[in-house]
Amino acid sequence: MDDKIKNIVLSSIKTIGELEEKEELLNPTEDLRLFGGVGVMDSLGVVMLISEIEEQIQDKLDLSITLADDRAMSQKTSPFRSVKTLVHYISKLIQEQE
Amino acid sequence: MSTLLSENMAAKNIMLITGSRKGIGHSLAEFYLQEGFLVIGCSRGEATINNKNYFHYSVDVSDEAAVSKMVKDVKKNHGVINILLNNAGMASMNHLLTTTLSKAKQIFDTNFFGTFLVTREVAKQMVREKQGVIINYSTVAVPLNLEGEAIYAASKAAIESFTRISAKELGKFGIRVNAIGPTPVQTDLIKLVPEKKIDDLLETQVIKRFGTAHDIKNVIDFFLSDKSDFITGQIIYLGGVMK
Repeated sequence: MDDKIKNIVLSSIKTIGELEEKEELLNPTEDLRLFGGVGVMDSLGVVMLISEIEEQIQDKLDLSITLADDRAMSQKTSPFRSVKTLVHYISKLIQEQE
Repeated sequence: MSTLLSENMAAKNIMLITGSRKGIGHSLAEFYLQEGFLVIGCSRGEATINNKNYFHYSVDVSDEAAVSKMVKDVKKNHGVINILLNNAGMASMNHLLTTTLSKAKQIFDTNFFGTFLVTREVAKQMVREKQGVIINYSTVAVPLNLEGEAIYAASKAAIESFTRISAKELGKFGIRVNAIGPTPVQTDLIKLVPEKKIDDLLETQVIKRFGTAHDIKNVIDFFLSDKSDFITGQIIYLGGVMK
């Protein structure tokens, strides 16, 4: 399941990169830092990414999840810090739902 | 940005009206169906409109999972909602000293948290489209500070703040958010309010009469118009009531 989630996250980042014409998002890897510090996304990018990931999870996994988190906009503890933290966060959400 | 309410645009408009089973929501759904909109309605009960362009979801707007599921389902089956009317509302007239906590929470659940949840889920889709219009519902009870409506007016005052701040947060994505503040309209919402209270309230208005669904639609049409693409974060009260 983690691999599927990782692919969805990477594909969502790429989609946002295409929509926003941001080159740094077009070839994302697992190690990409997303938000805060050296991250490549600002808070608006994170907002767009949330809707894209939720949609792809619905389409590809037939699961309805809500990526709302009190720490979302925190520079230090946001689950959107990196691809890795995001995959971990989504997988935990899905497990809780099951 | 695509236009709204222009002559050839109605077919492309997908409007979600919460609380469409009765009252103003029901009338508005009928009006916009006549104008060729695709209307998605929701309420806790079953549909009361039978039209090939009307699709109903039996959903409580304060149920997070159900709202999320509905909005995703609409997109899958019909497309992205580009107009949201956060119409679902609940009123209760009571002195604050005799208001139960459970009733107060129920009012906030439907009026404020319902507006927040539906906005959040619909706006996620509008963000991607870089356009959309959201219309929330306040009430003249907010500027008039009506006695007996402490909780109801407070829940609507919360919606006014929410309207202004969401207009700022979503404006970056081409989404406009405004609100209408209706006067009393003869619907179920006020059927338990004593006649004397309503008469006194009408007297405080500059234009002393009940509002109608047409009055409300007129303001909604103004917010929806492509000519209103410079209007966001505003609250318009009916009947000449002023803050």
